[in-house]
Amino acid sequence: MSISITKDSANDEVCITIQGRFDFSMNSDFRKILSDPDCLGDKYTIDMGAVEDLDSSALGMLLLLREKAGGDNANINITRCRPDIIEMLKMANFQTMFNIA
Amino acid sequence: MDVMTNISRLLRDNAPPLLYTLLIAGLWFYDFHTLTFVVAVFFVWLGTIQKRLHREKSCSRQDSDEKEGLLSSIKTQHKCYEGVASRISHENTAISEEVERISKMVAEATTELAESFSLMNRYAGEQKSLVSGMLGDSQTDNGDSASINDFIKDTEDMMNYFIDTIVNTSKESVRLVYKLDDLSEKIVSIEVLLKDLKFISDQTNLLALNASIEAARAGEHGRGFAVVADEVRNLSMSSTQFSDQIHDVVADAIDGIKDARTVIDGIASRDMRFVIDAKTKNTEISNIICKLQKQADTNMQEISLIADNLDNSVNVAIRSLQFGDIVTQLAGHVSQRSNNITHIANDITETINSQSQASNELEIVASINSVNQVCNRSVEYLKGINDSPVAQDKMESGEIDLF
Repeated sequence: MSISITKDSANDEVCITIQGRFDFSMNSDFRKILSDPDCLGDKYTIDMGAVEDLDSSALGMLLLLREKAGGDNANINITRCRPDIIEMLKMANFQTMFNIA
Repeated sequence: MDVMTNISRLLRDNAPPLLYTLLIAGLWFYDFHTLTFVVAVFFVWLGTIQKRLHREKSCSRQDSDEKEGLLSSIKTQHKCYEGVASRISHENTAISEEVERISKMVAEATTELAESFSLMNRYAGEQKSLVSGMLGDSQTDNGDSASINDFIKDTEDMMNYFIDTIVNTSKESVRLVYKLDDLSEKIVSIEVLLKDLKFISDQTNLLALNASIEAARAGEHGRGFAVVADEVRNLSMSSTQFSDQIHDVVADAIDGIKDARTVIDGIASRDMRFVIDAKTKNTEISNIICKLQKQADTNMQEISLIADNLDNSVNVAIRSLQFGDIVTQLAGHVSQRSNNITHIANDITETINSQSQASNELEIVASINSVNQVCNRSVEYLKGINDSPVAQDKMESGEIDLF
């Protein structure tokens, strides 16, 4: 149940790896991505391969990240999702706002 | 041979006159007496007469025999004709009766069939209009099918709206939590400021205490200063008390923010699996309803097609019922032909009866001629009758008569 952030300065790409249950308990860690200038980049990749479950607050946090990253111009990839997680993201119409793989 | 045969027959037929002639010729040669010649001629004449009488007698007997035979044959023939005519009359009567029965049965059957088909036609029409109505309803914008599709779309839209609302609420809740965190930080900074304030108060208090000590050491001259120092100390103590109160309020505020954070946590954290299950069930139900509706539409169209076919079949059946009229007309014509034959048979019988008393050649010839005339007249009469009383021989070619 943690978030780790790495930044590839050369490509101005921020990689966020989330593990465990992605819910409200992660909002403090997630806030760091939103408020820390070191965590700003042109491109975001969120590795959700180790995410077991998520709730609506996780979706809210992802939307806040999208706002921060430029709204409709944001370039955010959500990768390695489990099928049920993809199902949940699609149900919230996230496939139109994020690149889900 | 022919010449010899003729000579011998001549000799046989003319034997007596020849004999007499030879006898007279002998006598004439023997005695030239005229009387003898006359006698001779008389004998010759007598012989000739005798021969002729004999011949006529023989011929007369032969003719009489032949006539008797002929009359007898003609009478027999008359009887045969009478028998045949009688039989023909009898058969024709039977034919007429049977044709009449056929006509009657066909007429009854056609009437019943017509009523039955007429009812079927009506029911088929009602069924068709019902089905058309249902099909029409389901295909229009306000119809069942459209309503169901609208309902399914509305439900889906509502579900999506519901999910969007949940996600947006969570987003705003998280944002609110971040604001509250910012607020908490600011409040915590107030507490730091309060600590500074308390330090100042404490220092002031200490300073006032020192001032009091110094005032006491100055004696009578320092008495006024001691009063001021006490007042400063009192103010410092009030300030410390005030600072403690603020500290309590700030602590309460921090606790309140923590509570608010917990509440917002509850609002923001919604189980999405529950929503997924609801949406999945909704989609499944919608699919089932769509499938049922499609099936119902298909069935209705098939029923409509069957109703059309039924309608056509009933119309063909009703049109085919015109066979009743045709059969009746044909039966009438058969009756008419049968009556004509009876009439001819009666005519021939009457003619034969009226001529059956013929007793000589002339009457017999007249009788035969009469019969021939009747036969010829009958043939001409029959030729004059229309051979095709019913022009229509196929049911399809007729117009539909809905009775």
